[in-house]
Amino acid sequence: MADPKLKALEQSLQAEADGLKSLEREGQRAQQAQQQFIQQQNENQMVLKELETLEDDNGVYKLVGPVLIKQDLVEARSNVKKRLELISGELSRIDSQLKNLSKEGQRKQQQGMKLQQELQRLQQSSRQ
Amino acid sequence: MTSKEPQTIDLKTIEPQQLNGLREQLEAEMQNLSASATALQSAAGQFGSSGRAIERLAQQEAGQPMLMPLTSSLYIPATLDSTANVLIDIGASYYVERSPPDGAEYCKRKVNMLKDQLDQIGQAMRDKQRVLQQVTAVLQQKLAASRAQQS
Repeated sequence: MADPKLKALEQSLQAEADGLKSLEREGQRAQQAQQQFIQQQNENQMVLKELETLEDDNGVYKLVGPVLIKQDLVEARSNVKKRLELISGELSRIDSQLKNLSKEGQRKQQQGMKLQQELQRLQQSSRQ
Repeated sequence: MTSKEPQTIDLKTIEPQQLNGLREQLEAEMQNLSASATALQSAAGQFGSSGRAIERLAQQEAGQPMLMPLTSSLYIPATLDSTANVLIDIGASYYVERSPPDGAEYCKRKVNMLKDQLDQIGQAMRDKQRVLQQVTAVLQQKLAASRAQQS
């Protein structure tokens, strides 16, 4: 059983599993961020739609800390639009990050499976 | 989720362990959906009561004496200055002035939107429930079969 080859295999299998776990954690973090941005995107889209329906004589205010500050309607629209652009930029960044992570994860999983088969083969042959 | 038919066919070929995982995943999704439904319901309730409050406010006239709540149990005398505009929180810390009918209309629109989404969630929950039942049934069959084999 103290076959050095076996031990090395077990170690690299463990390393693969650890790598996979940290990948999963990273993926979860990215997904959380994605959720948050999607929520913000929805909210800002709703705000923009609402601002589009306003006339010039409707006052627009922005809550800054505890006070409401009067805003120019045109400026408010362009601010929300800018924010939406920012958010969709972040979303596409996270999207590609998630794609990379899942590709990396699949690669690691296959690698792990290969190692496991190798390990089983070795164990069987050492038993015989 | 993918369409249901291939899933139904696939279920019998899946390992019990994976089936169990699938079941847990479905249950978690159901819980998420029902939490969202509760949140939407309460939001719809709030928009509804805001809309009614605006309608009542619009019926009042300027100069109307009233008691204004400072806390839930402390009121001070006040007079209504104007009912020409109400200030509406449209999200992302933006507030807009609108006439009372427009404000009430906004609330109604929100309530309708939320109701639509609630309908969608209800449909999704029914679908998930059905899949969950199928998965549970197949899982039990498999477990029973493996138990019969062992004994």
